[in-house]
Amino acid sequence: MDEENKTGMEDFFERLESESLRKGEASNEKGSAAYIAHGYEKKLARKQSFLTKKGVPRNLFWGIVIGTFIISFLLLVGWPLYKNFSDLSYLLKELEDLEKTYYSVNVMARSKDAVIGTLKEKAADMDFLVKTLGIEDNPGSYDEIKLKGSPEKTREILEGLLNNPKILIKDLQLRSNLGFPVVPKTDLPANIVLELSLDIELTNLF
Amino acid sequence: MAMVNLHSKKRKVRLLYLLFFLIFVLAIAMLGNVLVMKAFHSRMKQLEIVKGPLFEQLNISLRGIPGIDAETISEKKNVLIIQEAKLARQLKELDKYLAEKRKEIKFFNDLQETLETSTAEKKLITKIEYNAEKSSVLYYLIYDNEKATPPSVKVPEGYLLSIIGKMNFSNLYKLSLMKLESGE
Repeated sequence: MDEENKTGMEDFFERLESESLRKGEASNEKGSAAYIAHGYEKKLARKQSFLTKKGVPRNLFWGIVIGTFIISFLLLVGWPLYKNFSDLSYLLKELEDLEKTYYSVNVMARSKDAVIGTLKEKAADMDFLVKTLGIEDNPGSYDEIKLKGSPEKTREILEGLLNNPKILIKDLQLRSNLGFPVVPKTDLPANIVLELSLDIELTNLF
Repeated sequence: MAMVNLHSKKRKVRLLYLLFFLIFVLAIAMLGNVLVMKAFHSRMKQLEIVKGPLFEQLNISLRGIPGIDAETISEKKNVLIIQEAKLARQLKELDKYLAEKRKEIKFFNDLQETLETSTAEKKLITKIEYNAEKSSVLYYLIYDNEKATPPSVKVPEGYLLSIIGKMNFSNLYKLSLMKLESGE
C-alpha cells in the first residue's frame, strides 16, 4: 500500500513539474518549484520596474514626505509671502512719500509760476528804462550809471526803477544843485538840476 | 518553519508611492504659491485703480510685482525729491530777491510818508543815498513863521530822524535841515 501511494505521489509531482516547465515558469533553482493561484497569475506576469521593485522603509517614507512638504512650503509659499509682504509695505511707504512729494512739487511749481507770471507782467515795459539808462535788457550788473535832469524826469526814472521788479537798486545817490532852498512864495524860477548816480542789477530769476 | 512578524517596523513602501506623494506635496505647494502670487497681484491691481490718476500724472505703469513696482515708485520719488529741492531753492532765491526789492520800495515809501506827515509849507529833498545796508536822506522843511510851533514829525520804525540845522528866513519862514537815516 505504501509503495502504491509513493508511486502515485511521484507521478503527480512529475506531472506538475512538466506542466510548469511547459508554461516556461520553471524556477532557476534546480529541483525547486512554485505554485501560483490562478487569480494571481496576471499580477505576477506584469513587468516590474525599478520603482515598483524597490522600496523605502515606512518611517523614511513619511520623513521624506513631511520634509518635502515643509521645505517646499517654505520655499514656494512662506518665502514669497514674506518677500511680497515686505515689498508691499515698502511700496506703500514709498507710494505715500511719492504722493506727498508730488503734491508738494505741484504746490511749489504753481506758486513759483504765479509769482514769476506776476513779476514778468510787471517787468514787461523795460523800453523806457533801457533807453533812459543806456543799458541792455539782459540780466547782469550795470554800475556807475550817471544821469542829470529835471526833478520830473528824475522822479519818472525813480518810479520806473522802483516799480520794475526786474531791477534791483544796489546803490543810489541823488543830489541836487540846490545851494539853499527856495522859499514857498518866491517867484524866482527854480532851476533845479538833479544828479543821479546808480548801480543796478537786472535779475536772471525770471 | 519561517517566522513572519506582521507588525515589523521594517515594512517598506514602494518608491513609486513615494514619487506619487512627493508630486502631490509639490503640487499643493505650487498651488499655494500661485494663490499667494494671485493675492498680491490682486492687491497691486487695487492699488493701481485707486492711485490710477497719480500714476497717470507721473507716467508710471505698474507690473503687478511688489518688489519691481516698489523700485519704480522709489526711483520716481527720488526724481520728484530732486525737483522739489530745485523748486525750493528757486523759491528761496526769489524770496530773497523780493525781500531786497521790498526793502528798497519800503525805504522810498517811508520817506514819502515821513514827508507827508510833516506840516511844513514846503519840503525839499536835497540828497538821497540809498544802498541795501544803510540809507539816508537830507531834506529841508520850510514852515510859516506866523503859525504855531511845528508839530513833531512821525518817524517810521527803524529810522532815525535828526535836525542838522535850523534858521529863520527874514522873519517869515523857519527853515530846518533834516536827516532821515535807516539801517545801522
